[in-house]
Formats: sequence, structure tokens, C-alpha cells
Amino acid sequence: MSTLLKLFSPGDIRTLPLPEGAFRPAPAPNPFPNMDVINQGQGDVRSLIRPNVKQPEAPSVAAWEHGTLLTLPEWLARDGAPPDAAVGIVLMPTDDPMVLVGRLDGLAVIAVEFAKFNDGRGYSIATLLRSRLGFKGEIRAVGDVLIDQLFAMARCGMTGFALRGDQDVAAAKRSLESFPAVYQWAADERDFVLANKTDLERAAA
Amino acid sequence: MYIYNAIDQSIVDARVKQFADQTERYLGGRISEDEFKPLRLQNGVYVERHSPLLRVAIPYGLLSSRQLRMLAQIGRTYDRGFGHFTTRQNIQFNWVKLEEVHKILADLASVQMHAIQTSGSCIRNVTTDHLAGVAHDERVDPRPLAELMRQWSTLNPEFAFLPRKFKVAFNGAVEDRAASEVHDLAFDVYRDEAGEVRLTVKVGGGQGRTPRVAPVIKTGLHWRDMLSYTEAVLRTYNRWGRRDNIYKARIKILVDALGPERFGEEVEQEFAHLHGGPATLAANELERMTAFFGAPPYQSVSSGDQDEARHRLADPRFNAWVKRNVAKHKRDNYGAVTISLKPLGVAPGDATSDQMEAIADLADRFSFGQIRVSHHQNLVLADVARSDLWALYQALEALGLSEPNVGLATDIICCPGGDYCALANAKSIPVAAAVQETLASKAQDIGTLAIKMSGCINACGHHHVGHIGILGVDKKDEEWYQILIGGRTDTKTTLGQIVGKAIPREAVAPTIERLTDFYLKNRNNGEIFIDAVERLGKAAFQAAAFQNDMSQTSPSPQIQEAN
Repeated sequence: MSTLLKLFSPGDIRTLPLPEGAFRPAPAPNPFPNMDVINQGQGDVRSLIRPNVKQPEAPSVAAWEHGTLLTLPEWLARDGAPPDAAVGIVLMPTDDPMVLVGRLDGLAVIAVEFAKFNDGRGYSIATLLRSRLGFKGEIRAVGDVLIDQLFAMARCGMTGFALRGDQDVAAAKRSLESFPAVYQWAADERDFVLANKTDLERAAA
Repeated sequence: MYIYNAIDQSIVDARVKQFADQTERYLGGRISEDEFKPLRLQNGVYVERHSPLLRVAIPYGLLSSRQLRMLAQIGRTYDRGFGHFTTRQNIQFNWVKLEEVHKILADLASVQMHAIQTSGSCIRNVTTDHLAGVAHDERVDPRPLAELMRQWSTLNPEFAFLPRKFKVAFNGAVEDRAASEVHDLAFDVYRDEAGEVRLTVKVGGGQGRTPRVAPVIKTGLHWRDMLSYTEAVLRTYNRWGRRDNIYKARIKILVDALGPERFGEEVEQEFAHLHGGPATLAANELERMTAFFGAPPYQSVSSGDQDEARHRLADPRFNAWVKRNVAKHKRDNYGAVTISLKPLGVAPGDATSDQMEAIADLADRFSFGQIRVSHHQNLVLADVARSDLWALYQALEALGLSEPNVGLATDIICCPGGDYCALANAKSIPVAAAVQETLASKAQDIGTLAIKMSGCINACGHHHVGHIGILGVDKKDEEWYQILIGGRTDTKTTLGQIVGKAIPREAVAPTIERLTDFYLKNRNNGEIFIDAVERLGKAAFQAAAFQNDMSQTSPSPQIQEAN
């Protein structure tokens, strides 16, 4: 089992149990870091660099709590008539969310795949879904969904977080409130410092 | 300079708390090595050859004396009593302990500083002209826009995991002292006929494995649209930049693959959606930000000009120092003084805590309490009354900081190299030291000559744009050095080209001496080295410097060393 964090509004975070298949299971436990290696340096690391990074081929989750997740091609292959039951789909990092223009009806959940937590394409995909396509349903981060990226994910319009199996729920909730203020506009439409405000509006804020 | 308000402070404080928590979870085994790595990198922490290193952001190179004193204190408390100023106007502490970093970050936050995004695949510290605001050839002071860019990029949620690092630079002057065209994103700031501040946008410059001069993709961008347009550039890069190969992941590769025109069209399509949107800057924002960078209370009357002339006549070293280290200021009775961190026998860019404190005191006494870091790894007191030059020079001389070598062959830009860096192919610091020593006696005669040294292809030492570049390479686990000539960034960015074969370390200084000797023999009156290279051709210099090697084919390292 893992947990889905659902962000309804700032500060209103609820948790829901997730069935197997709807989250990425915990990896093997970490060894404790070797502080000798860290604080005495790691020597010459050139041989450790792997230039070619493996790209994801299949989504890391196949399901959500109300059924299976369709891939983007599967969803687009449907005739376009609104489905009877709520549908969830999953977008891969290489998928172009703009092909969903006019094809959002009936979608309850769009899952955004984080095959690796440091593949940042999902942030732009979520931003486009929310701000460009105006998708109102749940945008759910799936895959390597880790505590330390949740704040940025939420800012990019993601509202569901299928935590990886090993992530601590309380710490995850806290991390959604890591920063008291933000500088820049993002798809969560939160108030931001660099807003197009006059001095008067600034003073009143 | 920009002063934090309560919101700025709350963000930086929250970041310190966040990293302390992340470190604790990492040390407790609750975050894996791989997952912790970008978290520490985005807080400036590398793990280098012998120790972790902390890189602290100095936004566009501007420091107050109070901040410099804090850096000195950090160097003393957490490092070995010194810091290293980098080619991106930052400072690095080379010997820190990971578990103490959050304490250093808290100390930094107490003087409105941080290490946010000084590393990692994100938008890095914004850089600009170290003479911004005082340069005689300045069109627009770029610092207010650079500060807006700093704020916008700080903890930007969408662009924290780009394909690779992303460096932004601003230039607002005729001479580009920020090397902006070798950055991922460069803004040329100017005023149009109506007096409106506008930007020329260049994308995809860089050094490293695939050196490129950034092509222009947009002209006439209004400053209010700067952030919307930057968002469009970054979204295009974040979505389409290569992630399958880290050596092909910089934006320059994407710009290359699509061609600048096609890349510009992609950005334009995205920008069409963002133009006039929420990232548009308020009409009064530039004015509000510019107020932070207002002119200090300059004295209007100059009284010491005769003093300066008299001392210059009497003291040739002072004369050389004024000539080399004092740049023309937009006000005639002021000068911008560069304090060279390149005396013989010191790693370029290093300053001890004692020196930093002394320089902070001099900044308070002579330059309105501000210091700039130049990408040449020197410090600048930008607003010194000419009548104070002699007094300042004497104070610097007492501190061993009056090396009159700015812009000369001994003012070498140099990366930390194999002495510190875990990626380096070869050492840099001893090579730079040998070149400095060899050329020291001729440096004043040679005049302007930018020598830039990198210990590997990543080009932290900017070797591609040195008049003479030195690149450390690895051949069968041995350190070799490749010489480049012809690079420059001043008015027209040109990339240097490799001349001759790779040479062993002890041959570097003599080879460079042959290049400078050839120049001295063949120069025209008033012609600097790089102009002579352009007039005479690289081949002529190569023939002069590598004459002994011309007949040999690929000598083995052993034979070469025996020579």
C-alpha cells in the first residue's frame, strides 16, 4: 500500500490509500551514507560518468483507484464520445499534452509519469495541462514521487501525488508547505512576488 | 544594491531550514545518494576530489562589505581560512563538511546571501558586467534586470530539472565584459529611440565540449516581457532538449539541431501564449528595481588630480597600477579599481579571510562599502575618487594586493583543476603558476593578453575565449595540454582554435613564451596580442611556437619528457 496525497486547496491536503499498481513500490533500503567518502572527497569521478541516460519506455503505474490508466494513444484512439465512467490516462515524458486539445471531456485524472524524479519534463506537461488547456480535473504525479519535489509539483498545477512506497506521508504533507512565499507565476495561480502590481497594490498586499 | 525585504528573507530562511531537514534525512539513510545529489547541488554542494565544496551565489558579482566580511568569517570557521572566487562571479569554499553546510547557509542568510541554484541542472546564478553602473560605455545598467531575473529564477518550480545547467548573462555596454555570448541565454540591454529599455536575446552559446557563440533569436524585446520570453525559451528547452546523453543536453545542442531560426520560431509560438500574461512585469517594476542601484553620493569636485600625476611620475609601479588596474569611470574624477587576485605564487582567484576583511575595510573607506567580483576572478572597488588612488594603492601594497597586472599575461583565468576538481583531466594551478613566472618580467611590455586555462573540456577556465587558451587533456592517464589561440569576448566573440600538438606540462610555459616572443618581434605600434594574431594569422604563431615539433610525429610521453 501507499498513499495518495490530494491537494484541494492550499493547506487542505487529504490522504487516500492507493492499491498496488497505482504507485511505484519502495526501492531497496538505502545504505547509510559513507561520511568518510563524502567528507574526504570522492577522488577522480570521470570513470563514473555514464553519458547515455536510459529513457523510459513504459509507465511505472498501470492503475488508479478506479481502474486502469489508459496511455495517451489508447485514449486518442477512442471515438471521442464522452465515456460512461470516469477515465484516467497517463502521459509519458515524451508525450505532447497539446494533442489533448478538445479531448479532455470525461477525463477525471491525468497522471504525469516521473520515470525518474530528475526528469523535469513532467513539470512543463502539468503546467500546459493546467494553464494552456484549462484542465480542471486531477493532475497526478506518478512514479518517482518523492517528498522533496512535491512543492514544485504542486506549483506546476499537480494536485495528486501517488507517493512512492517508501515515502513518509507526514514529511510529504509538510513539504507541500516548504516556502511561505514564491517569486514567480506558476500554474497553481498562487500569489507571487513578481506580480504585475502597481506600488499601491503592492503596499496593500 | 538590492536589499531583501521580509518576503525575500523568509524565502531564503525557509530554504536553509529545508536543506537542514534534507541533510538530516540523508544522513539518517532516508534519502538515497542519487536522490540527495540534486538537492545538495541546488544548494551549492559538490563532493570533490578531497572534500565537499560549497559554492555561494554572488548575484551579478555584487557584494557589500558586510557580506564580504561574512564570507571571510565562513572561510575561517568552516574552511582553511580562504575562499576561491570563480569565473561566474561566485565564491567557493573548497574544504567544508557536509553536515556543517546548513550552518554556513544560515550564516549566509543572515547577510542576505544564499547558495541556491549555484549548481545542478537548473537556472544558475545570473552574471553581468563587473563595471555595471559605472562603465563609461554603458547604454543601460543591467543590474535591475539581472535582479529581476534572479528573483524569477529562484526556486522556479518548472525549471528545476532541466536537461542540463542553464546560465544567464546580461550585457548593457558597448564592450561585453560579461562574455555574454558564451552563455545559454544572453541579453543585450539597450534603449530604443523612444527611450524604452529593450533587449536583444541570444540563445545557445557556451564553452565546454561543443563551444558555440550564441546566435540572436529575438530583437526589440520590451523589458516588461523579459520573464515571459525567458519562460518560453526555457519551456521549449525543458520539453525538447536532449536527455538521452548528458554531453548533448545543453540548449546549444538543441539550437544547433533545429537551427537558430527554427528554434526562435518554436519559442515565438510559445511566447505568443505568454505575451501579456501573468509573468509580464509591472510598468513601474524597472523603476522600482533601478532605485536599488542608484549612484552613490559622489563628490563633485576633484582635488587630487595633480597628486595622481605627481605620484605616477615618481613611482613607476604606481603608474603601472593606475594604467592596468584602474578602469575609466563614467565620472572623470572617479576610477574603478581592480584588486588583482593573481599575484605570483597564489592560485588565481584565491583570497584569504584576512585579505577579504581588509578589502571590506578598504571598500568602506574608499568605495561606498561595495565590492564586485569580476568573471576574471578579481575583486573590484568600482567607485574610487581619483584623489584617493594613491592612498588606496599604498594600503593595497601593504596587504600584498597591489599587483599591477590586470588584463596582462599574468592575470590568468584558471579553474581549480586536478588539485581539487573530481572531473579534471589535468592540473591547472601549477601550469598557471609556471606561465605567470615565465612571463612576469615581460608582462608589462607584452601588454593586454588574456590567458585562460581549463583542466578539462568543461571549460570552467574559459579557454575557448582566451587570446591564448590552455586546455588540460588526458592521454593514456597522463596529463597533457592543448594550446588554443585567437579567442576573445570583448566586442565580437570569437572562439580560439587549437594550434600544434598536445604538449606536456613543463612545455606549456616555454611554448607560450615563444608565442609572446613572436608577438613582441612582429607587433605594430599599439597593436595588442589578439589583434596581431588576427593580422598575422594563427599559422604564423603556430610555426613560431611549435617549430621544434614540426617534424615529429606523435612523440610518446616518455620521449617528450626526456627532452
